[in-house]
Amino acid sequence: MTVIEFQKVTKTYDGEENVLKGLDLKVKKGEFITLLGESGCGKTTLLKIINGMISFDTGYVWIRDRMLSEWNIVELRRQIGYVIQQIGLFPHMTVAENIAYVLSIEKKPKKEQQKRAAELLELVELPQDYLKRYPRELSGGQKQRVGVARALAASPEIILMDEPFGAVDERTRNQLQEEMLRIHHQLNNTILFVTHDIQEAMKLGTRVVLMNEGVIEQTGTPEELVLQPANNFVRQFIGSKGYLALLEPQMVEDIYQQAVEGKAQNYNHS
Amino acid sequence: MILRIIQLYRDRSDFFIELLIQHIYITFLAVSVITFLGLALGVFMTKNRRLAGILLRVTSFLYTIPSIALFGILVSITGIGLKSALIALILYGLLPMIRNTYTGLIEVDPEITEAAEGMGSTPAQLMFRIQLPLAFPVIFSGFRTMVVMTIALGGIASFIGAGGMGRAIWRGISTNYPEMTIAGSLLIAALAIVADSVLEWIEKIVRTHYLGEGGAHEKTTKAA
Repeated sequence: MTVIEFQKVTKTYDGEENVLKGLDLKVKKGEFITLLGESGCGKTTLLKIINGMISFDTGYVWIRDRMLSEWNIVELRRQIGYVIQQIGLFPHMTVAENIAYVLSIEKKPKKEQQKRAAELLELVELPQDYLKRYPRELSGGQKQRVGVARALAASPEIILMDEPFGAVDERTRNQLQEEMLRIHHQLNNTILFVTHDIQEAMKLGTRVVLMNEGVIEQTGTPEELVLQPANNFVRQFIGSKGYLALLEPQMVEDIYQQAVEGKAQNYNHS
Repeated sequence: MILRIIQLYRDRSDFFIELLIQHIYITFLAVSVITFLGLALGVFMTKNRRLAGILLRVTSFLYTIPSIALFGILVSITGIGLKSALIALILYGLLPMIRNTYTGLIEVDPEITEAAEGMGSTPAQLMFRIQLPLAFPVIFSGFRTMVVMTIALGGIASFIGAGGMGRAIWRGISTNYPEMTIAGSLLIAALAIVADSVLEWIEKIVRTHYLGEGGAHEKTTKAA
């Protein structure tokens, strides 16, 4: 089932140059789409059109069975999880209040809000006593987990993530990526994830959308982008780095284990 | 001299209490109008940046007019009495209130408002749940400044027949009775100090409410 569809969508900020040049894209339910490209390629614009944070000029956008313009924008946004790079946690609210924000603006009962906040905190693997803490007491990685939990509060079918792990250190980023994969596997929602990191796009995406200067150069599984690049740009952009990213999970780990074990055996012999 | 002032307070306590009540009443009226108007204008200004520039300039201009001159001008338009005094107090008090409301609101981190908007807040929810609480410390410090200023200016308002503690000062000056002038001035100062301390105390409590325990804690550790 198609959840999101773009048809020949264009967007310009200054009236001259198009940031999106007639974009077509279909997203199916349960897909984990990574939007990959350099800064200024239009990937964030594409993402923010979906929840109406940015308007578009021509073309059609469908969310589920309705055209975007037919949606009540507030109602639509409440059904879409949204995580931005800077997280934007509310500093005057506790972690629990942050997570339950969408439920609170929908005037759901307090009990339900608390229960949901506790559930989600567990889902993102933070201890329950964090519920009463304030965002300023959290580390960068913990804040990002709370940001993810907050986006999941209303059980949204669609989740939009705009370079959410860009500002955390590599180790934390890896953990967060693993968790996103687990959460996606568990909840099976449709995720659109903007990144400029090839490895991240390859690791997370069930389908990668590679963008360049307002057009989609290729969409496909990570394997397709690496092994069957549609054109020269894709080949150059993905290149050996993408190949490495493909290898990494399976082979590199094996090779590494063998190498280390071999050494360990040598130690044992001596 | 000091003894004579104390003596004066004792002899004329009814007179001073009446003036004090009048003074508090006038201040209360002005502060209520300023708070309501200042908040409304400050919020409205964030929706219209051009209007914001104009309003800030107009209120800053009003602020620079010497109070005696403004009272004089108002007397010729709205006559002598409470009405003129209130108008003058309101015009002066608007600047700190408008400016702090506006600055407090526009200084809220845009990422926070983007997150709140993207999650489906209505404009009213965005304002009342996110922007106003986060701008509150700045707004409240403007409110405090305004209250203290209005109490002080209220002394001059009596000169155009609005009543209040200024009448004691005025009587002292016109009858060459310095004790009376000082007694009135001291009471105005005392009122301002008391109001400021009470507001400081309230500020701490509400800060804790809006910024969480941590917010208040940060402040106390800084003070300690």
